[in-house]
Amino acid sequence: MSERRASRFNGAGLPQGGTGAGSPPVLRGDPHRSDETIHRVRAVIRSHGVPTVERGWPPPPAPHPPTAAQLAASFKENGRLVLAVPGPDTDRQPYEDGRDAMTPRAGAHQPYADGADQGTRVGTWQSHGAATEPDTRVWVTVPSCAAADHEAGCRCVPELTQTFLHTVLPGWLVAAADTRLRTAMRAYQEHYAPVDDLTAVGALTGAFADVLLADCVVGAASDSLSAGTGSRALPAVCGHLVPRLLRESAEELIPLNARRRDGSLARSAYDFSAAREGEALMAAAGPAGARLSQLLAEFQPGSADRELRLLGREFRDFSGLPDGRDPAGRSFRELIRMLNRELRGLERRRSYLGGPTPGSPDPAALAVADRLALLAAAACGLGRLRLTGNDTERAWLLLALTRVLRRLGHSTPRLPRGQVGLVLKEVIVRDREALAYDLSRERIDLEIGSTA
Amino acid sequence: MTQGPTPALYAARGPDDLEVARIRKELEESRCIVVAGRTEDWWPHGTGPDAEDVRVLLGADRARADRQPTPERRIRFIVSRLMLRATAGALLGADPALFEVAYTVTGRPYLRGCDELDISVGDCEGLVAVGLMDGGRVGVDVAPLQPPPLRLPSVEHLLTRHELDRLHAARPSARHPLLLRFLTLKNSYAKAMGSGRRIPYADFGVATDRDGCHLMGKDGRFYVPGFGAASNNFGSTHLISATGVAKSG
Repeated sequence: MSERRASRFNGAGLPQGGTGAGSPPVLRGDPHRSDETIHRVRAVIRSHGVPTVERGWPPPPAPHPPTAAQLAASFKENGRLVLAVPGPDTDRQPYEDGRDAMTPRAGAHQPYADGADQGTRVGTWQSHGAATEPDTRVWVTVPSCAAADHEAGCRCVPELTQTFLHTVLPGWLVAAADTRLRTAMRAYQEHYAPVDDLTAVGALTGAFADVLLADCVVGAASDSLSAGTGSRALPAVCGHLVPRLLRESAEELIPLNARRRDGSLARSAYDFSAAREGEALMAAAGPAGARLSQLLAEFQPGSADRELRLLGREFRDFSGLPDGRDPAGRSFRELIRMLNRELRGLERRRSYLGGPTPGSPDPAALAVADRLALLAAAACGLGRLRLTGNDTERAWLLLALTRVLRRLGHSTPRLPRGQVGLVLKEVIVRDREALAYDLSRERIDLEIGSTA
Repeated sequence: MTQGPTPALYAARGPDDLEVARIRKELEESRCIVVAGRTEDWWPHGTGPDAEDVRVLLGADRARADRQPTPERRIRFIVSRLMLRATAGALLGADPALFEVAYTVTGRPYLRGCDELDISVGDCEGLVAVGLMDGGRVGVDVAPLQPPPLRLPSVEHLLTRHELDRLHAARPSARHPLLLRFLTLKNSYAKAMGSGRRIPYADFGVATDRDGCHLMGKDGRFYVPGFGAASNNFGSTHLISATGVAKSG
């Protein structure tokens, strides 16, 4: 890993105590930078759907986790790639002694105990006592067509397994959203475009903007994880927010498909079920309640200081934005000011994040953490814009930021004329030219679901 | 075929009437519960809609309450939020004032930070109902049983041929309750889906039998798995319908 990449996420090299204006980007991930595994897996998911989640298959590889060679052999034999992740651990104490939920406890069974190369094994970290209890691990399998170099996609250090899944599984869901958008796009062109249905345009463009924003979060979280800074805030945001963003966007598309010839009820029931596939997939990364608790833990005082500082820097930096005299530039500045105001409001409410609470977490603290997650998503989008901004990217990001602010409960200013049109045009072009509906914009073969 | 969770109805005469243990047990068993109560029973005694206590409890919903078109609608809105917070607080063992009711971009309410507990709200003259579901989706709709009756021609376009046949075959006195049942069940289904009336109502139907309520295709044959529905009278004045959708469909 390069120094440059590592420094972006641990704050090294950034001006100390500065306002952040004009500083280097801090939340700018690119999920398609060079990881061929991501390309391959996404290409498969686009046409075949998200992987299945199975319990109890294959038999647990006791007493040690499988090596990469064993995995590869299993993969060739069974046509599936396996990730073993810890199941629910009722003994885990998220706030005990200031440690977070992912820190292995004293006495926990540690994998890699045989001194083998750690990088070639899949983590199967178990809690203490797991050896005498029923196996609670979850096995995630991916389609066999994503075979080449597959082990790179699942390699991770054991204590980061769940954090890893909070990043990689939402990335798969972004790929799965491709088919939904494409289907809705065709329904739009067949039934809604001729009558100029503005609600349909809003649903289609809004869902597209949400998918791209979700991909920005996945990218930034992947970068954060790859940088190995130990910060798990962005993976936590990714695991919590991306499945929800994608589910909401999918639900918004349901009515578009309801006029198809194959019957609206069958279609909408299918779409509704598909919209919630993310919940089923994310179950492999632990229950949603645990994800929220982890998110909350990442925003505790101390940890939150750093995360909030990074967010604040992003919301004070207007570099890379269109000129303020441009309508889009004015809109960006207004939306960013609103985001900054929201952040300052949350800083005042940080007492809610003060300390551990007995029993279930405080709902007010969870609400604050949820708001911080939305702000982090907006910051990831802004980072993407400053990295590669063109008119279309600005348009979808304006729309995405507007929707983030609406989710935060704010009334937002009307978008400048033509911005939604630009987004709609991009949705149409991507369908016509078979380009992926994610940040990569890569050409895909719709028949076999692989990159052309 | 997989039958979804059938919502259980729970009537309560105010926040003090909520039996926490019973609600938790109901939710554990059916995974979907609907709490209903009359507006006057739930309104805080001796306070007006502008009382500081009420406004503090409403939190970010104050602006929405102020935007309600009539005083009666405003009171119903406030009561629905108070009931929602009280029930969620009882279920999760937290102070009701700590919850934040947020809205998706399509306007569907949810408890911010408590995504696993899905919610839905229905209200009409004098009655408020809130649905809560653990790890799934829920939709609730409420309608008064008493006239003014709906005239069939005005809602015919919302019904399938199968439903129209059933209405025509019913006794005249039973038509209005049956029609209400169809429409409120459809509303609750649309609320659970989060799509509102943008799904053509005539393209899906509901049927009731001894096993409960089912969702059907417009030909009366396609049966949707994973959905469970219930429709019950609340006293002799209102009808409450609810749809629950299992997490795994």
